Amino acid sequence: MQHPYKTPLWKIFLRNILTSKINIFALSIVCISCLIALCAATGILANQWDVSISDSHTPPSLQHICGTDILGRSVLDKLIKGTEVAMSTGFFVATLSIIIGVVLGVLAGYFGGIVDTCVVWLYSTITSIPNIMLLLSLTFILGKGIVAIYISLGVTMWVGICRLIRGEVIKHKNREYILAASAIGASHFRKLWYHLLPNIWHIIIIQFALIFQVAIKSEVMLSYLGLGIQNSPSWGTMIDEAKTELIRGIWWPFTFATLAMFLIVLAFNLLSDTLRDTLDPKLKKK
Amino acid sequence: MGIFTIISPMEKTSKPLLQVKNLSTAFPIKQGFLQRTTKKLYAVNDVSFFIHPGETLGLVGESGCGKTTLGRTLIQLIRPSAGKIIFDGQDITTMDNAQKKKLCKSIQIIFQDPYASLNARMDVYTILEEPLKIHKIGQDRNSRKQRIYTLLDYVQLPKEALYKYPHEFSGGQRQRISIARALAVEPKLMICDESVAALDVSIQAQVINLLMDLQKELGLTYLFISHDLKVVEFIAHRVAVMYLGKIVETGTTQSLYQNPQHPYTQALLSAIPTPNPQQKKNRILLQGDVPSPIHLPTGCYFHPRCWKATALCKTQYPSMTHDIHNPNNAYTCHHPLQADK
Amino acid sequence: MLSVKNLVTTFQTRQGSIKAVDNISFDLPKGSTLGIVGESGSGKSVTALSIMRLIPKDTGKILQGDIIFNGQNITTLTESGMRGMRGNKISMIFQEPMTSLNPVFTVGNQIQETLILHQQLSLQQAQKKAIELLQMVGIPSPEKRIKDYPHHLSGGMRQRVMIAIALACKPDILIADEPTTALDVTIQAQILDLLKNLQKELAMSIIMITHDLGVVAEFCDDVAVMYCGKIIEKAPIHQIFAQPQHPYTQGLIKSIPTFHPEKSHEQRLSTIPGTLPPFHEIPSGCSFQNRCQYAQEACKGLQGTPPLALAAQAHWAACFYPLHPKTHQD
Repeated sequence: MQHPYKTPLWKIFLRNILTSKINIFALSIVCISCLIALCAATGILANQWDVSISDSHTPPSLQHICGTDILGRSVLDKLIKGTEVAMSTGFFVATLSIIIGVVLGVLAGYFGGIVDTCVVWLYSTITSIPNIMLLLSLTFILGKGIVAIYISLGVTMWVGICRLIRGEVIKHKNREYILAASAIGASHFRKLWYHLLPNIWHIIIIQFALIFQVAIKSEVMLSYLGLGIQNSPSWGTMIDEAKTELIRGIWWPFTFATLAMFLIVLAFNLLSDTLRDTLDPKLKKK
Repeated sequence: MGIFTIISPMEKTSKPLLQVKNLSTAFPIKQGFLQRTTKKLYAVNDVSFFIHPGETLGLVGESGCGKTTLGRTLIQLIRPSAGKIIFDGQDITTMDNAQKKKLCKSIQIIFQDPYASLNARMDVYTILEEPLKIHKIGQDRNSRKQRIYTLLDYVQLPKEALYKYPHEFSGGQRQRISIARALAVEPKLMICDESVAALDVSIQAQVINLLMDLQKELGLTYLFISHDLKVVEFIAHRVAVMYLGKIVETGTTQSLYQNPQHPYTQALLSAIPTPNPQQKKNRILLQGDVPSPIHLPTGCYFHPRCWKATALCKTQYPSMTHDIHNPNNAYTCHHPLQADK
Repeated sequence: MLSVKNLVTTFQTRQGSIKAVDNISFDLPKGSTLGIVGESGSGKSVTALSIMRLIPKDTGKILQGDIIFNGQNITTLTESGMRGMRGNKISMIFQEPMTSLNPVFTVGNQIQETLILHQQLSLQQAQKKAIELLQMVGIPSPEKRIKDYPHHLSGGMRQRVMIAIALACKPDILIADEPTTALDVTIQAQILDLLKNLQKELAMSIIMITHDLGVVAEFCDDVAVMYCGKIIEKAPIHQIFAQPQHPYTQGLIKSIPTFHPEKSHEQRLSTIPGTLPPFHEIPSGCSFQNRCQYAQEACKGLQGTPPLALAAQAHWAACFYPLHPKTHQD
């Protein structure tokens, strides 16, 4: 009985979030992480991360809440700097893959024919290569560094969304409202921009949130494999270093890095579920 | 075969607004590993008819007979594979895109499903403003707004409707919005593709009345596509009956309904349940289903279900014949029912 | 045979609880056909689902009322008792022959399933019976068709299969929910004809739920007209079409385009103004008051909802001012 678009969607979204404690928690984690990342990027926070402040491997104490690493640098500062890396990776990778995926998916689904054949061929080829190998070779080509990570993750992660969008567009393009738009003489651009896109917008938003956290995990994985960024700390490199440290009972860099990643990935998963409940018309009739 | 020119009793002097000559629309059927086109499915098969200005032609047939494809071919949503569509003296099939866009203004379509044919994310104002923007009708926002108010008046919707979204309306009201959108560009010909089929009886009557009022007021011409013979009888001046992509009988509504010549028309008419328990009529029950359009029967397409079929019907498709007693009517049958009398 | 008394079925929605079926009563004698007519949202399908006890449990429930079948109250039956009833004593066919058959099983499998479940037949016996049933519903060469999947069949054929499944156990009551709405006229005529013949053969009662008054006029003995969850008129068909008592029924009958040999094009269809109110906006008093041309002060709720009362012989109407009351009749 509830009409799908009567209340503005963002209001329903906010209501869905505020009615559950776990969602409030998730949203605040995401907001705080964004804030930390922004502060770190502008140098307000953790700009002294590479300065040795204490002895090597000081355990957590009141003075150094998260302890220090091998060079005596603050683990907390490294975590904060790592948040910046993680959040920026999530953002840029999600944006890049959404742009590629949506553009290709919409074009393939809408125009069909040879365009469709080419796009399907392209993503079939990409999916047929094991993902990790593709990532490895791309980072080898592009060299190490944060931009290389953005690009290599971005150009491998658009496949899922492209497939999804293509299917959705094919479903919508034969709906009568699109035919009706053709009948009043609407151009392709108008049909795509004003009619199709608003009707698949919810998928794009949900996918953005999902890709965001997958990208964070992937960056950690690449850094762990030694293919990540070199001159700035990331959660992945911190976990990587812990390989040798854990044996010696130095648990803190590993624990805090894992905890940070766990929290942010969990928060994004919870949020994308809430987004899906709010935006997907199919789930609404519960 | 060929074109049968029948003069409508109402419009003896005027030229037809739309003339369709030997129109066919085929879809390729792809088969096998290489997806080669092995066969063609003729959804519309060598169809000819015409509509005079201000007239309503009812196009009747069961599902799968090609009536919807015909309607969509006429507004160029689907390309015809053969034949001519002459609208207002110009052949549409040979036009380039710019000319077609102009044409869109003159031929409009109203679809069946009032839920699917409106974009759920647009409010009524945006829906109605869109055709005006596309065709650059009205210089500024104000004059467009005036035009939108007029459109709402035409379809008897209140001004408050403008800033609501389609889901806030009932089926009948949505169909009114669809009609208003079609009227926005001042069309001459309106194709109504099962436009009232999805509505409840009482709402259906409201929309039919509205369509008839608009015809009088604006001098519209309708191609009214429907499976509901009762509605067509009410609204149409002339009727064409389709079966498996071909027109099997055409004529003025009154004579066709009272004196059907083709056995299919007769069976169709007798199958309609009438809301009158006193009137028990002799029903002609057709045997079997409509054959698949991929494997068409030989000869007359109707012969496997026809109770009058002879050896001739199995081999030869009957040509369009004019009724001797009623020159406005024509049928494709070797054994028209008139011969019985 | 079947007697429904004061049935109320409610659904939970975000706007609160609504009465989709509001205090309806009717009787269905053995071998007769009752038509339930109404527009979409009038509660006619919910009535059918209530009798079958198929109301979705999470949102809806039968709030009160009795459904008495052969002296047994169905509303108090356990779920397993009800399973023995469904498909065995009371069967139902649905509007969409496309979706009401399972696409991954053959037609034969689906008929046999019912037989094995309710009549404890062996597989061979069930197979034989299934072929007989398909023959009964007029499907040509049933030995071959039994191995077909639903997508091999046309819409009309699928509806025939649905009827075969529904009649497999020779039920006493068949509930047909818009069985011909999705079909073409010529196929509709075939199916209605088939149902009529089978009814005579098996001496069963039918509840025909439809929006098409034409189907009702040709098929039913009695009619109940529903509006906003209530039965507003109930009568034998000859009476209801000749002298409708409720303004809504009259409006419905008049708004069907009919064959008039001498009609002119100036003619308009008579209509009922407005639309069916949503369930949470039904006015108090008579639910039809806002659309009724005869509405008076009494209809607006001060005297309550008009009860279903006898307006002429065997003719019930829920209206304070019936159109052809008994006193004026003779």
